[in-house]
Amino acid sequence: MKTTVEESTVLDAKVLELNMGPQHPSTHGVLRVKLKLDGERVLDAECIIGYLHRGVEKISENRSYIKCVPYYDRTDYIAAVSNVYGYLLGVEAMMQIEVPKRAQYIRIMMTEFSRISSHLLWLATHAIDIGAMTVFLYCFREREEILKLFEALFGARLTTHAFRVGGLWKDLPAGFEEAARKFIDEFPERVDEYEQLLTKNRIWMARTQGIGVISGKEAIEWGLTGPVLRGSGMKHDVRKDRPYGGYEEFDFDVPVGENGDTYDRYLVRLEEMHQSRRIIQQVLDRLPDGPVRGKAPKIVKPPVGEYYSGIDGPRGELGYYIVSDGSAQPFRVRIRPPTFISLQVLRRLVRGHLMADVIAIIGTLDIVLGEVDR
Amino acid sequence: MSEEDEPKQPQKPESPEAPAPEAEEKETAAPSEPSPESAAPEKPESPEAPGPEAGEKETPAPSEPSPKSAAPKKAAKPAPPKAAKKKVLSYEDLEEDTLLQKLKEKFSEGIVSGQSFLKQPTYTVSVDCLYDVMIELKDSPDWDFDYLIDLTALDYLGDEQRFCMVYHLYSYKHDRLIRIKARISEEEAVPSVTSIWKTANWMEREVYDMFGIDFSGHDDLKRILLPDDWHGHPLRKDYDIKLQDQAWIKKHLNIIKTPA
Amino acid sequence: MIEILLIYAIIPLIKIAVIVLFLSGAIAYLTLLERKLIAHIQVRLGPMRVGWHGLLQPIADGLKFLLKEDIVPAKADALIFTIAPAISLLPAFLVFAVVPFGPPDMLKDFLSWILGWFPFLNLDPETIARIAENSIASGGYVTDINIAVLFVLSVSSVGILGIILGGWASNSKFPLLGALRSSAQMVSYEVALGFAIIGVLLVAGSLSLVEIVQNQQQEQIWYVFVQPVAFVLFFICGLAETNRLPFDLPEAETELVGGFHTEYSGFRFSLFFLAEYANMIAVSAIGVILFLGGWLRPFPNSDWLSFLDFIPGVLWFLGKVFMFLYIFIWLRGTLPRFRFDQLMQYGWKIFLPVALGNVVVTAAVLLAFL
Repeated sequence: MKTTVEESTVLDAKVLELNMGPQHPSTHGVLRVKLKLDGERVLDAECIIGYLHRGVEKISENRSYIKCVPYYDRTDYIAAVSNVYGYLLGVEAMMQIEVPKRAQYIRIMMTEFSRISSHLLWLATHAIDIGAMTVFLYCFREREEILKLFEALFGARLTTHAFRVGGLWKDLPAGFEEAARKFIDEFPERVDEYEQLLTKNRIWMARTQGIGVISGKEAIEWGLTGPVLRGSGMKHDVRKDRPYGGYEEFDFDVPVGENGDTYDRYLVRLEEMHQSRRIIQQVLDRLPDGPVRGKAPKIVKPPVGEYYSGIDGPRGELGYYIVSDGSAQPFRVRIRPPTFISLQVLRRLVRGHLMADVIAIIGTLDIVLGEVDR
Repeated sequence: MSEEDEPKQPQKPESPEAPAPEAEEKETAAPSEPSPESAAPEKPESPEAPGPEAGEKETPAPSEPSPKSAAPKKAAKPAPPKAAKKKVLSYEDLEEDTLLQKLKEKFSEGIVSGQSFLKQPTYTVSVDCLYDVMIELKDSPDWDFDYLIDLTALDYLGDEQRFCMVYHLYSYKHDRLIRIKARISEEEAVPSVTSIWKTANWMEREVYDMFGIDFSGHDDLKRILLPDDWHGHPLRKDYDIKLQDQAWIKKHLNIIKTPA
Repeated sequence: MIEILLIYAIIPLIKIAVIVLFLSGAIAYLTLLERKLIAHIQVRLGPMRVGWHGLLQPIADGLKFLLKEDIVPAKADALIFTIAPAISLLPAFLVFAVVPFGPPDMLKDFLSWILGWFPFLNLDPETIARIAENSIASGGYVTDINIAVLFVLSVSSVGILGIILGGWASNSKFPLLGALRSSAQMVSYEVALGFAIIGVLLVAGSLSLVEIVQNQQQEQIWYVFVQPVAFVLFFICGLAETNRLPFDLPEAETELVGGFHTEYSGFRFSLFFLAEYANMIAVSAIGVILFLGGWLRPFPNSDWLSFLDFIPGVLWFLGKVFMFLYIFIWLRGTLPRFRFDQLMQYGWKIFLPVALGNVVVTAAVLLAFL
């Protein structure tokens, strides 16, 4: 959307063009933002992306359905578990594979763990962008615990290749449940620590309240999903709207904000961590026995058809549109990347704000460039 | 599985809109209760999808690539209910779909077909009335598709109408997910929907970047993921996975590489 | 002749050398202290490898800075780019010329003892006593001038010049923005800072830092209890003056990629780095002198605390400075960063009026009751 930029500056000075990124500590990777500045006030911003483009969608067309999976770990590498989850739900639906209850529950638990870890990383980087560096390390402390759980179950910390078609690779290792319980028991206290440092902090409030305001209606028009949409007061969550994978069996609330500003999005994400914790608690309490892998064929060949499977990832609706031509390789896999879509609203949000707010707004959109560029 | 590692030859798949959907299914206990995953939450008008029609044998498409191997035929076995429910999935024509009827009333010729797969309805419209259909879907209070989930394209190399635009729409109010498709030929431009949903902006740019499909009415149509002066559109089926724009690489990165 | 030379040249020069060396060491170890403290705030250990608990880390850092390649960007204004760090560092050290570390007779005993050890000077005991009596030689400071506060204020504003020049000469956009931020910030906070100090000056009735401390001794109270508002203002503005969080906007790594020193590396960068820490110590020292009674123990002259007198004044002074620095570092571990316009708003709309009000109230009270 090209809009003419107000080129006039307050002092009739020349507009300063500033290249933020692709090497900049606060662009969370290789985002490049071309800023037009009047002093420090942003007149216009243009995002230039693609520095991390690896052609995941093209690669998918040249791999078998199963071999695609590790590539999706590497799109949104902060929440790799959710990525794989969304894709496998689609494949399993097309293959009509029934996933055993236990595997479903464990999948939900791990996805929620991944949401917590993703939100922790978001909070960490968001806080350090705004200057609160201690929160950064506190969050990493907790995230470390989750990554240890990942490592115990998946054998990897970051690019987990979490699930397999039809269920899980293997059952929970010994001691996993205790460790998970220990984590969720301690977690609320830890979140309180961050809240003490930030929530009522006058500087934090001054930096985030009223920054990057977007109304709920406009947020939908921009296709925003996840915490960014919910921060604007729209109570939409794919887990509630179009429940998948067994989410309908669990109790949780969808937190919403009021003003749609950076502060509200911060509160929403904090509350989401608590809600994820609730889900994990329920999973642990009700975890059924049984196999963790359903009957799945060795070679996955879905029938001719197409399926869109959307899940609520930590950053919003993460969709996989899978088109099959009946062969063992997908005809097309389109990833609907939540942050690719929410990043385009950056331009609309930063106009008129100061340069320091650009950082805060990039942070609040919670982008992952691996997913934006794919 | 070694053959899967080779770059896939561009091949013509069964285009979903082909008039005869492959209804090649095993007869099963009719409105089977699907597994939780396949229980697509969006419930279109025809929950009893298979119905009597689907039960009847339709002529199988001649060039059937046989998806049978994927779905093991266990229907014969009486005992395990899970196996009994398995049936080969196929496209089903939408019956009693009010949206399809209303659209047909309004756009008559423009609506090519309405089908559903795994209870996700797909409406194929002609590109000429695509824009009007979209406006109708967005603005009419009956439908109110306020959220454009996704916009992408498919490349059916070899077809006369080579590309297929795919839009996923969702209505928060009615909790409904639909798919709109429009076939276009290589030269045709697609009307841009950025004026209807702002979110389409980058997605259309990506489609332009990856498929080289032109969008009329998009006011900032340029490459988004690839460099501006890159040649070729990678997601086209005739763009081999190992293909790179060697000229670009030589110019900008000063790497001279002989293609394998 | 030798006596005059000793009093006015040799002993002050030695004192200067000692202070400069001590200060350099203090700065080096302040960086270690900061890293250690912040690390422990953040549940980690900080430097552990070089020496016991990283005690030799500052030396390793210093060596690294010295050995690094000296890069001057091609499009930078080479001359200004080169001298800017020095402009920034010198004033920070210069402030310590007037900072009293101890009472005017701090070195009296020491001088009368040490001068006897130099037979080639041929000093008779009377001369030694005279030298030791002279406060220029025996004072715990390099010099005591009667406009010390003005001197400190004016010298410390020269330091800004180094930052502005460095940012401008880099010929790059991020440093330029950092330099602009820094100039605006320092200018506005210096005003409030100055007014906060005036409150103390009114009470003390002197511009000499030594006299200000001595007055606190006479009145048996630290001025922080007389001028609490001014103290808070001084502290906040001091943070802003030294570019510390939450006011570290000119550097703001996450916004400006380091601000004015983005293009600097190696030794030149370390000069800016030293300047920042020297400024921290300077502001702390001035704060201690103005508000916390300099080298005095708590409640000076009151007898019931006289058992504390065995601790020499200079240690009291250093202890209080350390406390100041500790709070500086602590804040860095706790607070987020202000935004530029908020910073200016606080400076001009809150701190300045409050400081002015403080001056007016202080003056009125002094007029009415004293």
